[in-house]
Amino acid sequence: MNAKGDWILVVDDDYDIRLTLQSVLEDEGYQVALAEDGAVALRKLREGVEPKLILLDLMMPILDGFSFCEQWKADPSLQRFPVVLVSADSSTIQKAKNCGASGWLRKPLQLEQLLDVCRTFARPKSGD
Amino acid sequence: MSASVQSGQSRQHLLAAYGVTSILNESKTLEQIAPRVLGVIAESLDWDVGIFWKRDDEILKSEAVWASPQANASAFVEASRLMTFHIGQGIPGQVWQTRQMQSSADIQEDQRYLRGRSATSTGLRGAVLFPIFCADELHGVLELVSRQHRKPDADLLHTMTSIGFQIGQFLERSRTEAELRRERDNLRQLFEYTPAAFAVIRGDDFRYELSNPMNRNLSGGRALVGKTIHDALPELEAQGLSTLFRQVFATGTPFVGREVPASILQPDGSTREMYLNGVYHPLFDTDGKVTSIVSFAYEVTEQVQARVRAEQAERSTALIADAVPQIIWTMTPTGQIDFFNRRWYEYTGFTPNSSDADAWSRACHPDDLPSLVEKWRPCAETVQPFEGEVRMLRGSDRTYRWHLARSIPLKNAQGNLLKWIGSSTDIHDHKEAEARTKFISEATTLLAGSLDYQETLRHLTSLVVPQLADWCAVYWQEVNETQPKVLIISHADPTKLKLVEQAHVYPTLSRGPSTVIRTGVPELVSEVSETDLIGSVKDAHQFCRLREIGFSSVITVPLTVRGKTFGAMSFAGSASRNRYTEVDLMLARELAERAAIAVDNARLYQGAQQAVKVRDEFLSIASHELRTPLTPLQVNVQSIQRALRHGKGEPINIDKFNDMLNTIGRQVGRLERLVDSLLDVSRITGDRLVLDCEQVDLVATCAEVIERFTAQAAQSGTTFVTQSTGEGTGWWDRLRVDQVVVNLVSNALKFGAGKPVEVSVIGDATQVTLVVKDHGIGIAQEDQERIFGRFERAVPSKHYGGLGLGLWLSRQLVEAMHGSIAVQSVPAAGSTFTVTLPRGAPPNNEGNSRS
Repeated sequence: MNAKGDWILVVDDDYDIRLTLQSVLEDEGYQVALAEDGAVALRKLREGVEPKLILLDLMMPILDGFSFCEQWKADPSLQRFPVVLVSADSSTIQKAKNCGASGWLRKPLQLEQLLDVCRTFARPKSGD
Repeated sequence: MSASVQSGQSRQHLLAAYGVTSILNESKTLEQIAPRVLGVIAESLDWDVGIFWKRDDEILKSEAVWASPQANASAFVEASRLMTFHIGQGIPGQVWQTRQMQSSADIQEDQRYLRGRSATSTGLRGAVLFPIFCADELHGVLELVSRQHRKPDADLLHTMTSIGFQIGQFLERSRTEAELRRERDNLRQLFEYTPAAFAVIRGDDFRYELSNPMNRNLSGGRALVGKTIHDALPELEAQGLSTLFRQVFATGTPFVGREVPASILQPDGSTREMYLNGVYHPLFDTDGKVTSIVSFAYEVTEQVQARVRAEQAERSTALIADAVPQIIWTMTPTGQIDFFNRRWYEYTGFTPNSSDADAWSRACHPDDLPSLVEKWRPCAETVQPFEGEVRMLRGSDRTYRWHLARSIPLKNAQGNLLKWIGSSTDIHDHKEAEARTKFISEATTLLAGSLDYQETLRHLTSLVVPQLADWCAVYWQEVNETQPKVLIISHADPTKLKLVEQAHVYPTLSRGPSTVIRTGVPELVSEVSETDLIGSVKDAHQFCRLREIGFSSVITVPLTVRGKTFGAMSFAGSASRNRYTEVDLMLARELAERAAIAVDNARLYQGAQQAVKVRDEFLSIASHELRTPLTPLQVNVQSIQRALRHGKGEPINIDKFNDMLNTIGRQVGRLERLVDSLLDVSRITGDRLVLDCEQVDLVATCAEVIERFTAQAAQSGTTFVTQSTGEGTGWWDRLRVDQVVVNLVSNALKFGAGKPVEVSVIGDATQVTLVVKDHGIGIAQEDQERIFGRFERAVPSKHYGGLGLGLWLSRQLVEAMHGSIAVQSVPAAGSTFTVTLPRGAPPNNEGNSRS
């Protein structure tokens, strides 16, 4: 099928989380782009990264998940990239869902759940 | 007629005259003489009937009628007895009128004669009538009637005139005697029954000539007449009576005595004390020599005793009135004050000479007088007790003080108002205490009502003004300020409040609030002088304003709680208010104490609320921070499990496994550090931090930490620039120093925006300085102190990782090692953290030195 898997953008300020998610998603056959805050994520999207899924942390410096969502909603060119929120706090997730996210994952992440969500939005590299 | 006849006739006339004279000499009254005189005259002069007409005021009526037994003239006698004549009526009336003898030759024919008919029946013919008068006054008429026609001759006329004159004199004399007798009787009765003692004392030996029963009674019942004072009343002689008599005799001047005391021996042997009013009046003989003394006296013992009792009662009442601590006064029914007790004069400072009539209105506060009068009027009209409260001027300090004034009417037995008795009690202290208690209670309620201390203080000032002060200010001393600032200002007069706000003048003196706040000692200035005012203003304009607004008395009290003074309150009173005293100061202090506690409570509450908020935020952050490492930990563990499950028999990618296990290890390390941080907070706040000091090289420590952060720094493209000058070693706790460096370096990475981070170590003789400098977002000036607080950070908490404990912990650790930490920062340009650690010394090994 695909020579290369779909892109997934991981937005999280925590280095180890980014590193871990990149590792497991690449193993699954996705192409992974990383961003340490909302501002970097927006920049990468505008630079041409076209992810089938954005895994968005909420609590980040510079531009947090809520602020990213506001800009994402405001820019029609970005809305084709679905967002799934990742947060430990269920109440903030409820608030964020109101701003148009497609789903949410609770921290700490469970590997199988993560991969299920990813498969819903993105296709990994085929051929195995 | 013959001579013998003539001489016989003369003899008869003489006999009549002698007869009449002897009758008049023998007898006393007209009733006795009249018939006999008629008989003698008629018989002697040979007349048949004689009638004595007596004048009785306006008429003549027969007093006596005599008729000769041979005459048989009873009808005529009877008619004459019944007849009366007015002046000019009938012949007797004509005699009265003319005062001349009248006669009628034949009364039967005479028209003037009114008894003609009875005369005719009796056979009477001639009549002659003579006047009886004396000293020009007619006393009566003597009528002689005969059966013959007779004419009066000169002898008869002579004889009868003489007899008439004699009878007239007799009548006059007897009338005078009767009058004298009557007068004597009257005098005697007066003398006997007069309710006063009356006596006549004659001669040089003072012998009683007269003494009426009352005098006898006063003299203890002793008979005095005929006795001398010496014999009769020796005790009075001893009391100076003789001396008095001698004086009257010698001078001829009456002695008038009032309430003269006398002691008189009584029949039972006792002595009676009495008081007499009396006169000793001299009686003179024709030569003007004093012959005797008339004594006239009456007893006034009861009156004197009653008056003495009343005077004593009045004196003792006045004494009682002077003894009580209240003001006592009495007032006449017409509203004139006629008595004030001594306390009144002491209290008001008025002198008894000053006009007491308007004393009340002068002592009373002018504001209270109209309502007092209003309340008093109905009581005065209906004569009912009065009670009212009024402010009165105390002379000693010229202050008005509250009094309870009372007035009760004193009535006599008939229920008529005699006077008002009033009292006035100084209830000022009691009333003030009551008002203070009420005020404090109100203030306490008010202070407890709000947890916003500014609002609380504002409410408080609105209570203080105007109850306690006309002008009030609350001062607030911020920790870093040198001068207190004015937090609230209030004035009873809105116009003046405007002036206050425009001119920035305050109800305090120059030394006022800042001194009070510094020392915590309250200030009372009872009497503010002009000099005081000059000293508390900046310029002439302010002075004019301050004087315009004005205050005469001021209190400044500290707002102190738990030994710390954070502000002050000033209360100022205008000239119309009583000057502040120690009592007011006490009230102000109590108020300030309560206000301070209320403010402190409000601040503690706000602090507690803030602390709760910070703690909640911290817990939220801590849970986030503790959960973050769990994601890589869990995902890596599940990846390894999955690989082991799915890839049975497949070769294991060792490098990948190593990476995963390294990540897992790092997460465990992160969790350990987070837990350590929390434990450190617990240790430090519980004062259980223990340092394990050894020789540490700060340069080496920094190199190790930077080494640890190399991979993370690479992520953000941060580079480290290191530099060291001098020796970097000292005696410190290695792990704690490491912790501080990690904190500062990780912060620099976190907030350094990927720009180079400079780490320098500078050692000198006594200390080593670590400088960590970044060029990142920086910290605003107002946040620079706050960031060293627990759970604090300069940026909104959720944007950056970490517990927010780093700088707080670093400061605590550095200070525990006797060092210091400081920050210099410019927003958007970066921050520089400087840690200075004294090198310290090797710890004393006490255990070794002892062994």
